[in-house]
Amino acid sequence: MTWLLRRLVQALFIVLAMTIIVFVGVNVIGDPVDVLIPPDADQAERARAMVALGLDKPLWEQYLRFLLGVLQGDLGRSFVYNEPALQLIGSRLPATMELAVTAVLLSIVVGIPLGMFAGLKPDSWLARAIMAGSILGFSLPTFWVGLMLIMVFAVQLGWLPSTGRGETAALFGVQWSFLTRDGLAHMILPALNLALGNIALVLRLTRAGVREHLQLEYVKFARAKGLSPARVLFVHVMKNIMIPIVTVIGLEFGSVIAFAVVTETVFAWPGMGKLIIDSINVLDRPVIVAYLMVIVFLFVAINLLVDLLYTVLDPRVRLETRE
Amino acid sequence: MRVAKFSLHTIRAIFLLLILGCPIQGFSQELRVGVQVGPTTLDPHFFNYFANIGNLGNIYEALVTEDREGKIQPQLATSWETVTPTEWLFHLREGVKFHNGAAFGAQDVAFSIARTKTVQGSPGSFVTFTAQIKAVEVIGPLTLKITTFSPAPYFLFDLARVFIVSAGSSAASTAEYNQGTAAIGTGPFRSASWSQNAEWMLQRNDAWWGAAPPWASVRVRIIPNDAARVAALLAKDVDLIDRVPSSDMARLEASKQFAVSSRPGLEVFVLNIDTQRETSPFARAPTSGQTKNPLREPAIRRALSLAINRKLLVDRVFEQSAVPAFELSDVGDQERTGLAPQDYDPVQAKALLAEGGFPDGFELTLHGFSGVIAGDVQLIQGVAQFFSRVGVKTRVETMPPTVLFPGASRGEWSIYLTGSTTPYAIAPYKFFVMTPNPDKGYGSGNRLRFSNDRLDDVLSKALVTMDATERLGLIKQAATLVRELAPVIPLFHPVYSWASNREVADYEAWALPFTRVMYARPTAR
Repeated sequence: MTWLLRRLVQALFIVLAMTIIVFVGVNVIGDPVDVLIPPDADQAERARAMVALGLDKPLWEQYLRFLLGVLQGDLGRSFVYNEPALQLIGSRLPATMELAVTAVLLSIVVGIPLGMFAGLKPDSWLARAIMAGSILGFSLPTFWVGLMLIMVFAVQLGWLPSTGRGETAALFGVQWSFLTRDGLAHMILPALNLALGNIALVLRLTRAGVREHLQLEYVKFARAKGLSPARVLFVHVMKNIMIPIVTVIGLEFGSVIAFAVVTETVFAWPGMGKLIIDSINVLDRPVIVAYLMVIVFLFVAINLLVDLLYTVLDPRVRLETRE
Repeated sequence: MRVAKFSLHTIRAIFLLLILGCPIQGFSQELRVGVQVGPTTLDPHFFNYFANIGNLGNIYEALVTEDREGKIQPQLATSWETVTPTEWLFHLREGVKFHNGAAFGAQDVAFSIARTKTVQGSPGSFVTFTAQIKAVEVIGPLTLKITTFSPAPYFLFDLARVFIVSAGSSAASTAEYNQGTAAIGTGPFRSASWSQNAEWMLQRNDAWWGAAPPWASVRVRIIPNDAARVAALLAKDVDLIDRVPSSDMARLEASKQFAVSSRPGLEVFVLNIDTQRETSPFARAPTSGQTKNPLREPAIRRALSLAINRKLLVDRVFEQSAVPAFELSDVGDQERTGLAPQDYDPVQAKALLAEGGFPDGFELTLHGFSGVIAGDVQLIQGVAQFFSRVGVKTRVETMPPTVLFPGASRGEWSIYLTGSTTPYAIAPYKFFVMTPNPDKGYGSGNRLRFSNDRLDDVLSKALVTMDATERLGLIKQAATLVRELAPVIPLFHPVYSWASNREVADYEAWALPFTRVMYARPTAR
């Protein structure tokens, strides 16, 4: 358990360092008031806004006040929305989460089978087509692909809605899109757009793993032992190639949440990514800080989960942790 | 059991209803709108931001309002008169009800004006519009006297920004407005539900005092990305969009399916110049050792203004989405100075450079913003090319506005691109060229602190002159002075555009970036 503790302490320091960087960084750029304040406001109004937002105090005092707030579970109030920053992020989190989870599921469900096929029959024309397609998958910019998806499926064919979250339904007091037909229809294009790069990544990893492992002794042995090809592939090979794939999917899940910005912008999906971009544009510091804290926390949590998964997948890792 | 029997009358009545019902059905449909920026709050007194004023004008009303040309029209006040130059008497509209059924009266106006000063935590408050109010006196249930500290000829433009809420809501906080429980106005629509930066549902206010709005409900979707907003219109997911990007304008205009409407906006973009300092960080003579700021010379600044071919620049960079600005406010239906536009004249510009003591030009860096409007980077590059053509070696640096404007306030640039709204003709003068004066609110956009006594005299006089003819004379004087001294170089006025699906609605463009949904006309089927 000491490694768990060590990691938590590490995470704490990362978050602390990050808050300092953001505080100093935003301050170097300039006054949020300069950006927020309406162009027709005068100097007196500017001074009033500085006081109202607590920006008239020296930076160290602002930072200490912030830390004090954090200890009481208050990450500050958004300058623009005058709502607690955490609450603001919390209200956007479900939208991003359901998009990210769907995208990651898609990359697993589509990427792994296609990758296995391409690894098993590398010379077939289908495998070649899959590999060629995967290059497009991670080399085309998400922004452009998103717009193309809209142009084809929404504008030309008219099958799917172009933007927005559609109808939502409540579960555990939170609004979700995946619970309604309309919401699901709205989710298909953005989730696919977000998943495309990851599908390609998972597919290529799987293919490389399968090709490598098929040459190894244990596979030959298993075959010689008379195991069915399906069992060799789905039990023995699969288990062995999963470690790098789990690592990548874990990391990618984090990035998908943190950097869904582009997809969320193109599809007007009201998630966290859009919130952070809006906040950076107006230097809404409380939201920027709180968002980054949430993201750091998510990354730490995901990495922890990935490590735990290793121990399930690979008995050797389990032994090491016991020692 | 009784079997229902239809008499001939009943059948006739049903038939009649069906016929009548058809247009009613068309009449009561939903309008779906895609806007670039949604409201950041439903509290009309929390954050003075164009998107809040634009959007919230659908549910709230003010004493007076601007029409699509930017002219003042009666709204909750039907008429007004100035008793003395500082005393305004307003006669309020009869029979107006708030969305919750409460009757509207003078005490609500007094309450709303007072509330602008008490809202907590505002990043940009509406005190800007109410600071000049000395006293509000409720004379009768529908009569109100407002006294200002000094004569204020443009007072009505400020009052158009102060939305009226019910005095009965006195304890409501911004959070309660945002939840919708307190978002109660008198406007043609009421807010049904709002999810920040995603969607805003409006419902017709059947008790509205004016002619019934043509839409039973309006779904306002917030789609900040230009291409996505156009795609939503093309896919018929929305019926009306604002801020049509210039790259899509031609295509939409050419198609039979969609209608585009445009109007030059009451907004001006200018170059702000460092006219005061002995040396300026980004403007100096090419010979080393000479550190004198060339921009201190009015002749040099005039030369720069004459060096720009605005028409060509705007045509190439913005196509149809901007018009050239030869003066700070030569747009729309405002008080016009009638000065002939100062045309592109590179020969004269070179002569003026020589007159100012820099016949071989000098070195200059322009600072502009990026990502504010489409074409902002190309614009500043174009300006640099025109400057280079007359011999001023010009380089360009662009950055996000979050970096540009704070830097300008610290005096880090020599010339930078900036903009301002021009609700009335004199507003950009007050903002850009008056000596900064925090007490009076002058020169708040004059970041490089230009100062000229004569110009200050003329403008501060114009700002308290109630007589329109006399005031116009003063504005002309100011415009002439600005042309001579050239502390700012006007470049262009953006054009605001809306596009709609012809099958559903038409929308005539406004000179303000406001999408007021009740003016979207359903098209006959």
